[in-house]
Amino acid sequence: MKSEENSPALTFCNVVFVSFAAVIALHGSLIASKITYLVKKLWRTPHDENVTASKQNVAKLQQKLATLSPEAEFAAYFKTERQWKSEKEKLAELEAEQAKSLPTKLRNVVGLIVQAVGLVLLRQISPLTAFCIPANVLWPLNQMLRFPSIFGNDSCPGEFAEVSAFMVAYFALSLSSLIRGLRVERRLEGRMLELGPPLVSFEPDRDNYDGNITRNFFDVSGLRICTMRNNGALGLTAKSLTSPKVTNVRTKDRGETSTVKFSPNGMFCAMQRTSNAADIIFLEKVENQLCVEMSISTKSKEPILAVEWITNSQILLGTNHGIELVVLNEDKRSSKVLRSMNINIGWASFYAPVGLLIVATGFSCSNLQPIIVAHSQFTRMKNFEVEFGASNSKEKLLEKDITMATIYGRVYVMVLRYSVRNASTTDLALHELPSDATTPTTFKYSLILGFTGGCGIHACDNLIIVHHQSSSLSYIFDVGLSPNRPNHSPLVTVSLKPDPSLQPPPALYTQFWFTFLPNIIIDSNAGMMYSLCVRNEYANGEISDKALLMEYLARRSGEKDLFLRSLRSCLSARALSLRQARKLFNFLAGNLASGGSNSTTEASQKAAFVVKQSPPLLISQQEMQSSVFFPMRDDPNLHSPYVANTMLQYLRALRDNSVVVEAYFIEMVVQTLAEAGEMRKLHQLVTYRVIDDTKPLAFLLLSYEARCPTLFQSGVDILARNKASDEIVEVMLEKNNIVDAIRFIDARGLSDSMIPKVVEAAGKRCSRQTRHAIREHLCERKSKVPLSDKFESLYSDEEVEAAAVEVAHSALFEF
Amino acid sequence: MEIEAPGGSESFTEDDIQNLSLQQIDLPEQDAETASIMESDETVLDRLACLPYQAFVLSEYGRPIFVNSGNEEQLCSLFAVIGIFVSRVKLWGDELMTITSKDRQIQFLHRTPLILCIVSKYGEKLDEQLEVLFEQIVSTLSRAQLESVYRKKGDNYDLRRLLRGTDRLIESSVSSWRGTLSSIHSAISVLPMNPGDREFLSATMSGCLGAAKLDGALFGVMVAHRQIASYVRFKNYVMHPRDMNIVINLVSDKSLQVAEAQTWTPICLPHFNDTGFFYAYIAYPWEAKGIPACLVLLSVKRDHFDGLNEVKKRILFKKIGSEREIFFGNFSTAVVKPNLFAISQIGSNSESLWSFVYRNHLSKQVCISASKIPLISREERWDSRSDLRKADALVSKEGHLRTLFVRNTKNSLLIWVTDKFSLQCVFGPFVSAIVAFTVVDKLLKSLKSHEQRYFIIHTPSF
Repeated sequence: MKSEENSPALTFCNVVFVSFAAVIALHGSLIASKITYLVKKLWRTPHDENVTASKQNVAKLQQKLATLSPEAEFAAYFKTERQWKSEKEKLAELEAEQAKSLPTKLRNVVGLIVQAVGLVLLRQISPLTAFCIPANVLWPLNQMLRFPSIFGNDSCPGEFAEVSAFMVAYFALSLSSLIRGLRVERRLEGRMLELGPPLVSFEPDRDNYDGNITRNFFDVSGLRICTMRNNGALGLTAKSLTSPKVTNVRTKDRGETSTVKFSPNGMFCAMQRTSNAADIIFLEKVENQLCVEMSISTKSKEPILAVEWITNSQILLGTNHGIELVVLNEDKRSSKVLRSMNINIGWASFYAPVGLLIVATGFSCSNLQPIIVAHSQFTRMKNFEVEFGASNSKEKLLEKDITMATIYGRVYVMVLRYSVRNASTTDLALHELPSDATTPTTFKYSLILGFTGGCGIHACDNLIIVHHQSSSLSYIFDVGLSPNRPNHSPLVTVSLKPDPSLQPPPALYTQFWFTFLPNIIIDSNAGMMYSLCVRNEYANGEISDKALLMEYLARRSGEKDLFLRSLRSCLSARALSLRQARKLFNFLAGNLASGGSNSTTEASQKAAFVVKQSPPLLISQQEMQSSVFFPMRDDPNLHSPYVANTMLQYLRALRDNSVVVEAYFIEMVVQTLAEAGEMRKLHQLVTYRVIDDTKPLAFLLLSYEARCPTLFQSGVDILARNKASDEIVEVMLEKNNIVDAIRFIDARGLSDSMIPKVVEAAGKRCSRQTRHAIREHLCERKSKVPLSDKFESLYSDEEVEAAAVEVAHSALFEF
Repeated sequence: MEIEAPGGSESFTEDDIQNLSLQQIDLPEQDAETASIMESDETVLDRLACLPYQAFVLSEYGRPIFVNSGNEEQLCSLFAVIGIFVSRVKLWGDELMTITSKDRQIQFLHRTPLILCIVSKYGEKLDEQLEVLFEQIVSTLSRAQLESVYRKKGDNYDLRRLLRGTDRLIESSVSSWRGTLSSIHSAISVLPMNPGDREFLSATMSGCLGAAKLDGALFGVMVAHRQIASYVRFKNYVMHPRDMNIVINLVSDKSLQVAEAQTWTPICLPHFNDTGFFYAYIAYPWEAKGIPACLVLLSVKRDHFDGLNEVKKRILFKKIGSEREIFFGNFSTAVVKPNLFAISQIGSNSESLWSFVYRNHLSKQVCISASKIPLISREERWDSRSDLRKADALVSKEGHLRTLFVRNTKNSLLIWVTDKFSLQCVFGPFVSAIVAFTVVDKLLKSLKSHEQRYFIIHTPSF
């Protein structure tokens, strides 16, 4: 403790020194080169005398050479030329030497100086100790930690080791630069697709490990991962990404299971353990710690191809020759066939959200028969043939090559198509399924892929994402951007990135990956189920075309803030042309007009199924105003006519979609137009009654009269249409149009209430002649308005007499 | 609607064969007297700029002849510019008519051997005004003489020597264009008189002229206040209204109005014959009694002075007795205090009609309303007249335009043009078009019923 007195205190000066020393130690060479550069710039070294002399020589020789003729005086010419060339070489050498030597020399010197400064600083700060740690914690490194004082300064008690201030600063600096570097890296990465939470872990498949067998099944309808240990004897666990509820039951071991499917309410589970029967497990009824179960089979006892839950009490069984709808009676534990249909089945695939069963028929299984199972009915829709690139090596369309998804409110059957020549996947064909049974399915889009090897398909947020395993790339398609174009290239091509919270980062694009719609990725090796997130905030970096970007963002759900933010920055940067802005505004206004309600209501009578649609992006006029137009208006860098024109485009979009335009928005447009000096446009808006007439608008227009005289009439017209006669009279009086005011009162047949005001104004401002006319007129109207003395005895008798004589005598007068 | 045009249908336009030989006279040249006060160029120009209009007359050679501010010599350069403008455009095989600027209009008229130019703020009928100005000059020299002077004396001849003393006439001709309405319309205005009195006067004049049997005495006119009281003619010779206005302009000159004096002066009437001269016998028989009436007798014979003097005496003393006394009483009232058409006499609703000018196209006579409140001060009258002129210019420019109703801030204007007449009215600002037309209808009826009072319906001949 005694030593503390002679160890220097941590003053501000010392802190600065320590920081400098640490900076020099870390970035010494960088600083040296920077200083060199600066010095070189500032201290522009005067030219060497040798160099200047040599330059003068060269110039002189060249002049001389120009005067000589190479033919007449060839001897002299060539002699001079030789001299000139040698002099030039010498000059080049000198210059090169100068150029080379100077920076290297300088850099060495500066480096030395910097290092010296660093050393001096180190010497200066060596007694500084930041804190003490117990000596045995980092025992072998104690010497290092007290750097630069090698032997310690005994500022700490015996069993403690000093940590020098320099070391603390050094580590702090390196840590901060490391973090900064990381952040920069993270920002630069294309993170548009993220693998991440929510996620659940499960036990991976194991064969005969300690005598136990673990099998995992994915319930496509319920989106649950089901882990079955020893065929259920040791337990059946079901986990889902959406709910934290974990189902955990035990069943009898009745052999190997091939399918596990949960009913929609999660109370039953259908399992297929034998080929021609399905077992229903009552998850909530337990006997001897095992679940109660029952078995159902088809009438024909044929092998069952598909088991699907239709409702909580109806189950669909598919065999090679038909399908059956079986209704369960939970209490009696019995079942009966409700409906059946005979059909030859290659394979069948069920799309639970709309109750759609796709049945593949025919030799190559390429004739697909969609059947809607709803309301205890089978509804056959028109069957259709798909083209999948049939060849000798690939004779049949496989179930794994077709996927069903709902995109922009339409159900699509997506078929992976392969090239006939090689094994490459050419494209993904989208067949649109009509909602009513009578119209045939049509081929709608082809998403161009062109790769070889395994791939996975996701469809979420109306995007179709195709992951390609061997190239570790994912292709994002958005058919909504150009719905009428049949061929689509990937909008964005990115690599999946794990969420930063996943530590250690999981392996990506492995062969153990399984993808399920809508966005589930299962890594069977690691025993993890992830969800795929589309991080639209990174789309900015991936889609360079701003118009396309905005169209993309406008179609994403739950990205309103991002959309508004991006729209504002795009408009502020003038990255969107007015035409593009109008297209976008039209889209928004169209959404507003439909009010977010689905357009399927009129078709619901005929529809065989109803599709749930994500609500479209609804941005109210107020939101547009507050988060886009107001900031644009306040931005001093923006050209105000551009702002005004953008607003006009929005206004036009609103009107085109017959959305009622809010008054405050109109007011803003008018103000902006006026500020931008677009008086002609403003006048047209009013003249063609694009904007509704209101009194405040009229007064606003009147106030702009000084800048555009025609607006005055527009304002008065609006007042007239609003039948605001008194206001019109006031305006006219203000403009000194007293005669017009009276004419207006006459024409409108107004009451006399305004007349005293008019008379008062006339008394102040009108000529004698007009006052007389007003008096006569009021007499004629028999209005009982008291006239001031301004209206009395306007003409003296002498005057009248003089005028009469002058007129009668044709006396000349001139002005 | 068939409208009866008040003011008679006796046409003035019929062109009689002018086979009457007129005498030629030699005008004595007057020596130019030296200008007493020489003003500086600047002050002359300033004075010129102050005038509401500027009229210039110059020879083709660019020699100044007349400017309405006087002091032509100081404005030589300005005259030269005008001359160059006209001659340059003529060199291009074209004719310079007008130059228009924002608030001025410049009209040119090139009548060999003179160039006339007027600069005016009011651009209405400037061409006609220049014609009138030219005719006024011709009336002192005759066209034939004008041409021969330059032929004989050379292009650089200073015409002012011949015109000396007539500057006043030219000036009053120019200003009467603005002052009275009748000259604008190339018409004459008639002194309102009792029909009987007028008939008596006309009969007396034609009777006396006819009885004198003077071969060559063609016209007799009684003028008061630039208005015609009576007008008689020989056989079917007629006098053009513009010629009449030249005569009126001559007799309105104050220097001639001497009581009991007779003037005998040559005058050329360009519309009658612009090569020869009439001789005008001018007398102011009642000047001493304070009646500013003037008797003008025109003859083509130089030696008719005595004969016409006799005629005058006979006119004055034809009838002695009560009839003549009554006539003289009425006549003196009519002349001393002319009783113009008062608008109030047309009856109800007439308050809104402030003023009107009626012109009969056939007889070329105008009738002007008497002054009425509120058009009393000169400014008020001038403003309403300017408004009328503008509207009239619009109507004459648009040939098809027949009626025009304009609501100004100060007044309302109604202009109605038919083949027979044209009518210009100033109404109060609050009158509606319907009311205005009913008033006008009444006005026409009232004029028709009093037409003998306000128009000369029948011109007696002898």
